[in-house]
Amino acid sequence: MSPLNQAKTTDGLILRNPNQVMSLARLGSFHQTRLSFMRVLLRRLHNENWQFSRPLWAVDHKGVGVAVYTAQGPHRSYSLVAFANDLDPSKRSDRVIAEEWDATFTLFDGIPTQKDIDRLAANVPLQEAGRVSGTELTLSRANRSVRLFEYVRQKLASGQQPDPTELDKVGYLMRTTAVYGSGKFGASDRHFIADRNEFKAPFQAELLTVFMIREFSTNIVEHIARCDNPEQFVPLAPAIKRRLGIGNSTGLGMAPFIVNHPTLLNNWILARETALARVRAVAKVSKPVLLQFRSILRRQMQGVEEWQTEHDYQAKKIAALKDDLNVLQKNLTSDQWLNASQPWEVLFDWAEQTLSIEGQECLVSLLLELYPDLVDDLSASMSIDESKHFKIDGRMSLQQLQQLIKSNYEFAGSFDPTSTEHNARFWYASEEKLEPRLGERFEETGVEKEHPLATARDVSALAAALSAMDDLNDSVANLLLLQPDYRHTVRRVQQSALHPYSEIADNLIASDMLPIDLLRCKLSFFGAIKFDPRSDRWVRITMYQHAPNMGEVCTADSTQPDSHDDWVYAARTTMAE
Amino acid sequence: MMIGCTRRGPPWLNNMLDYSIGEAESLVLKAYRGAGFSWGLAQEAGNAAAWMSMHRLPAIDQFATLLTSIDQKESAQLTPLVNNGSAWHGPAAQLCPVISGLAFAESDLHKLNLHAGLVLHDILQPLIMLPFIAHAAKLLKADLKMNAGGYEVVCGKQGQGIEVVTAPHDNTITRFVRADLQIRLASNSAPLNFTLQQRATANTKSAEALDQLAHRTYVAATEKSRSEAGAGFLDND
Repeated sequence: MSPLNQAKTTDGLILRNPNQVMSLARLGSFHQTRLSFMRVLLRRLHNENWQFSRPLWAVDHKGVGVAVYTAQGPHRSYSLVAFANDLDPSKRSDRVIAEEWDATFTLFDGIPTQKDIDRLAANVPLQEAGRVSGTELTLSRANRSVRLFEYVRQKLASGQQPDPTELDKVGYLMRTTAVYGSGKFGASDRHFIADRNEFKAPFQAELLTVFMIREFSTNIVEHIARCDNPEQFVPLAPAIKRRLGIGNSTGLGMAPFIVNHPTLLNNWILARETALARVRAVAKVSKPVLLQFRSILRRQMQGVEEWQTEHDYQAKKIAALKDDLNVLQKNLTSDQWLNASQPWEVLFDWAEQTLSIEGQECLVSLLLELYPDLVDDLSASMSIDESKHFKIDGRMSLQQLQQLIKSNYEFAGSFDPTSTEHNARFWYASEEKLEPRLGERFEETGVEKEHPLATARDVSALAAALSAMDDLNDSVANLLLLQPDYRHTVRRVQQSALHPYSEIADNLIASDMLPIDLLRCKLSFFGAIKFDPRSDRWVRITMYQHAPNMGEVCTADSTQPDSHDDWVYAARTTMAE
Repeated sequence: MMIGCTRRGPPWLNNMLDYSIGEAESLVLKAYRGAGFSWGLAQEAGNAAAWMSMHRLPAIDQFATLLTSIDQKESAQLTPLVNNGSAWHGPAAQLCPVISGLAFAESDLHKLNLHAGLVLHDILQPLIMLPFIAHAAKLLKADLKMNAGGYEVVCGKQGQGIEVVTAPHDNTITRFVRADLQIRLASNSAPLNFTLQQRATANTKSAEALDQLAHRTYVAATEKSRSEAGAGFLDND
């Protein structure tokens, strides 16, 4: 077997085959886990006793103004600078081509002065048309979920708490429509903050931003409700407030990220697969762990009941998942698997034979949840300095290159260059917003500007060129001097040597490829839940729902459900508190 | 106080434009691709621009001059004929520093006589060779010295850090169009001290030139592409 087909960790655990794990259908079935980046962030905020404050709230009765929230960590502080807007409903669009939003945000490195706030006020509300600087770490915006926002405002203004079942139908008051980080629009590059402990895990600055935007979303609805009716107004009850996460609307712009960052993707998947292998290798399952598993499963089933979508593809997957979780619950009543050596291994083998892919990947998340001691340390391995793997080894022989393709690109072997279906699409950047888009190769113009995301096609072409050569003792450098068009493909192939999970094992220009699978993979690593595709190309999600709020994250009791750690599996109540 | 939204940097940059390193990398990558070169080479150009910017070298200005002169040229015409001798030439009297830098750093360096030195003739914008020479220094675990037009620059063996040993009084290297360039082993020195720069700067004209080339990589939007990309035109739900 090739190294790829039987990836081993340093402690000898056998990991799942990359060809199995990296299929788009499976990546598009991933759920959040203990390793998801927002869970890593909240564990850190709790463990390091981060303190949150709101040093500035200058917002008028219409909800227009500026607010500053500050997160104080052990060594540094970061401030969310929020600009609240009274948006004309005719301008409320989640699309990247929108030009105005209900609120805009930036994460400032430190505590901003009035001069900083003035500078940001002239730029942040303009988003892509504005400019931030090296003292800003992110740039973001959010729109209201109008119906829920209005409902909550009216309830609070009339002195009542909103009904939790109404909240659960949406899950958030505002949804972000972009959270730009590293170097975008003038912001600081990740490279220069990556050595700070709080930013070592991926996307921590972005997710800290979103965590504080969630607080802003409840503060602004309370503020407007209080201005409406100061006498009767009541603030959100803490338990109700926790029920409100923050939404996100994401389209094609995010899709190529995991293709363009193969070594980073590898580290995300490798950590998750290593965690799974460790749990599968557990020799015996103790009674408390079994009880915890049953409890988490039950709460997961409640969460799935709340998961709503009108998209047929996702609706079918959710229906299958509900069946899967029922079957799993029944199977747990048997002692047969529990008495085996390595019981989780037996259960997981059964799941692979019995459950849908969606159900299998949900089980991965449930199993990881049980063993923080086996899992959580792996979050430290999920970043990478990509520059260390960028350079091509020109001295590698073409024979070695060919061997890497044979070992690691089985999926490219089925690519047919003569098939219209296999070549149906092309990825490009739009002139309008410089964002990634997906075109129909045989119907639309612009194919000569195609981006290099058709890995299966390009590797297949490189493999064919190598097969046609007489002498494979020559070097990669000499090939690339004559054929520079292969350079981006050679880079990927060489990176795959040390990164078994770097490639999506599917054809990304096929007629039946679903971009929402790419989006879900990335968003699951963020920690998103309730994936709600609105088409094949964009998806709404919920983040931080049931998580402690800013003021609670440090005080949450980690021994209780709904704490800073297992809030994803929060117990549900249906009555208004 | 209204403060304009512009790339214009702070006053001490003398009205130069300000970029994050990632923006400089992305701009050069797209412009290099827009000038007609392969995606893989464009990635290398972007990576080189990031390295240069972090070493306080004017990457955007250098690439603007380079790409103005090699726009739409065949790669083969700008590629050195690699050999194990002491001099590399191109088929025409100009070599692209990205392609030549890669040819050098990816070659079997131990077969080259770098004690005596390797001369690359007619290199355009020789400063752009520095990131590739620095990478070769790292592979060789030895300092390398570049000589071009009266400049002597040492690239440290750690792959980062440069030291300008000698320079002409008028600091003309940034204006070089073409030069013969020599690379040779430098006497072993202590590791170079350096601080990486966190921002890139450029003059307006260079930035405009690269923006125009980058623009060629974009596809004009159609109603279809707009309607399918994501979300609704109105999201008042």
